[in-house]
Amino acid sequence: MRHIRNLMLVIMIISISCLVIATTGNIAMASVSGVCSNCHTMHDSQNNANVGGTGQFPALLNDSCIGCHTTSGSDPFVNGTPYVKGSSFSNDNCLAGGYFTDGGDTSGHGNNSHTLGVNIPPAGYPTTPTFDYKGDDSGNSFSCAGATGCHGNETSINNDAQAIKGGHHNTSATYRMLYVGTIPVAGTGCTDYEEDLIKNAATDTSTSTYAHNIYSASTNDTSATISKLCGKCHGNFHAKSQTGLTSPFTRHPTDINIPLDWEIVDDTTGKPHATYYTDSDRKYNPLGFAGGTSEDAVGRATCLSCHRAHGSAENDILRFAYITQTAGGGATYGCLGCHSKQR
Amino acid sequence: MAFDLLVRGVFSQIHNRFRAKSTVRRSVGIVLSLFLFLCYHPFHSKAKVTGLCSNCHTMHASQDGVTSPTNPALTKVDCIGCHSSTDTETIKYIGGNPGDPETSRVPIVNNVPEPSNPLAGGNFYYVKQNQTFGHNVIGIPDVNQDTLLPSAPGRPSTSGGTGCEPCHGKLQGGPGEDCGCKSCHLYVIENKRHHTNDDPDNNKIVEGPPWYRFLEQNHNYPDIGVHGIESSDWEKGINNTGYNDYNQYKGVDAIGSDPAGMNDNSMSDFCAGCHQGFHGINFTGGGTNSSPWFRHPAHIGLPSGGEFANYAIYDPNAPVARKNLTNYTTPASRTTVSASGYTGNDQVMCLSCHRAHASPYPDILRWDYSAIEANNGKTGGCLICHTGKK
Repeated sequence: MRHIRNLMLVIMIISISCLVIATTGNIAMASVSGVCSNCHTMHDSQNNANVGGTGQFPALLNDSCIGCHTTSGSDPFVNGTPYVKGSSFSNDNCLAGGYFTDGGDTSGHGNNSHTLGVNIPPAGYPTTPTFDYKGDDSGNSFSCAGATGCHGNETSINNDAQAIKGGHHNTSATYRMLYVGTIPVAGTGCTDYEEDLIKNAATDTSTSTYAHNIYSASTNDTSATISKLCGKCHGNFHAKSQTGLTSPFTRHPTDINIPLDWEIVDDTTGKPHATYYTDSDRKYNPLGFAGGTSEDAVGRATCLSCHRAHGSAENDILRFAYITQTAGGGATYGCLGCHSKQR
Repeated sequence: MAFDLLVRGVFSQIHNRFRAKSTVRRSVGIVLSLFLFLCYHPFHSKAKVTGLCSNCHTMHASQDGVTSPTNPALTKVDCIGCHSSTDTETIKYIGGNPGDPETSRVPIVNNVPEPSNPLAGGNFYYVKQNQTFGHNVIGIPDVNQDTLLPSAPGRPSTSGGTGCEPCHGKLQGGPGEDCGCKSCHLYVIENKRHHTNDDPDNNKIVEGPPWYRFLEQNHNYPDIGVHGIESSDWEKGINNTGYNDYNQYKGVDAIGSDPAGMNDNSMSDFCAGCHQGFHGINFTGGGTNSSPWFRHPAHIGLPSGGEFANYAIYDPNAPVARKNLTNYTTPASRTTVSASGYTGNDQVMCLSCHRAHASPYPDILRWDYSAIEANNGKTGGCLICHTGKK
């Protein structure tokens, strides 16, 4: 009897949720809207067959994370659904996080994507890690979320859906459901996940035209910045003990102010330059800002100033081809987007 | 010549005009720079490095899961690692073919085999053959502490304390440390290095940061550094017929200014950072500050008249420094010498006799001192200036 009561309670909650979602319209955040059956199946059974991907999925989902966020088409953003893998995705046709690939970067190295399912230490993984990545010793391979992934609560949960529980239906969701430990990563996501910016921003455009994310950056080690999240796996590339405190650095620093005499920022305030921080910069070398809510702040370097999160067409998941960045060549994006003196 | 100067003038104006931040500067500057670049010397040399970033830098010292040693400024290797070669070439091209925009051009100062054409500063190959042939910069593979010299000869005082000794008394830095190559090329530890145009006025006289060859004179006063004009090939082609693209070094006479020759942007004063006792006239003049000298003077003009008057054609085996560099911005203008007195324009300097890194001869000389004979029909070496002893 108690089981039936619990089941009724679950169905009631789901139904109420669907009603709420249906009446709130297409909220342009991580809060999902639409027909429940778009994503969920109650029994993974329809017409005497399984629904969606192979097997059952947590939270009564039709498919896995990557299953839902993969499209057979070429549009990375369809009816509010962001896709991180698809057909004909490219540097100019993807969302801000980039896209998962099966290798085949422009330089032929094949390491142009974070690889789900692998069980090897990530590049830059500290020998004495201070975080919860367990992909190298627990047998739990790299996944989208949880203790061995990037999204959701990462403290101890190895189940993708459990780690992001509530994230898709919470209108006040954290930025892309990203946490450092239990602390939400600061940041502001734009409504189209930068689809238009990425499609339209040429290598040198004028001031802001397209919607864009705002990434967080802080010189305070205790802040949950986007770079700090990356640093949980790639700590040697983020920790100041590994990059150096001041120039000349020994590895490229992150969570650090852009020098005032670089063109991309204002000479006095360090904020993005009114003219020279362009949509091209936001596409190829975006800055991070304290709190991740406004660009009216000191511009800083982040991991995502150079890399995309999921993958790209370029080696090392870069936003641009490193092998084309030429000092003295006059380019104004990528490395040279910030390092204006080397143009 | 006229076209040469015209191009330089126009380029200078454009460069200065568009130094301010401007999108227009980006596009117009690039187009005009490209035009002038093509009109002028296609492969004109300057110390501002060009080429693929990846030629020299690694962002995280990690590639394909393999980490590499880290170096300051994210370089793939340390100073000597980049400026060394396993063959005899002394100018190397990284990342592509010579002249291609993605290619970086690197002067080599440390060859494993004997270099075919050592550059103006000499080559550390020689100090590995004989410790008296060069500066024994610790950190260069196979270069060890000098067994004859516990500290820099001519260092007149240790009053600066032991903290000064690593750079001013020795060259004891290891890879990535500050007192190896950086004992002399001090400016490389500052914030602007290979990517700062060391030709700020486009007249080829380097007289501001990052200074000639990154030779900052006084780390307490980073606005003081050596002035000079850089040879487009670092004098690699010096044995070619008609070659005249010589380095030009700043000279200041110690007679008309500071007898100690301190902080005056001259090449010789820079050497005095470690060898002060061999420099200026305070330590060489025996109180009279004139001939007969007690040590060979530097920082002083070639005496007028006498045997020195015969040194009229510039000889790169006994280069003179110039008090006024403005008359030597073209190679053709560098071929003459004028002995016009202690306060004259053409100056005796340390590099008149020595090379900076290493040479095939003892005491890093440009020639074999033991083979210089007076009044025996010989030429070269000391006799280039002291013509009366030929």
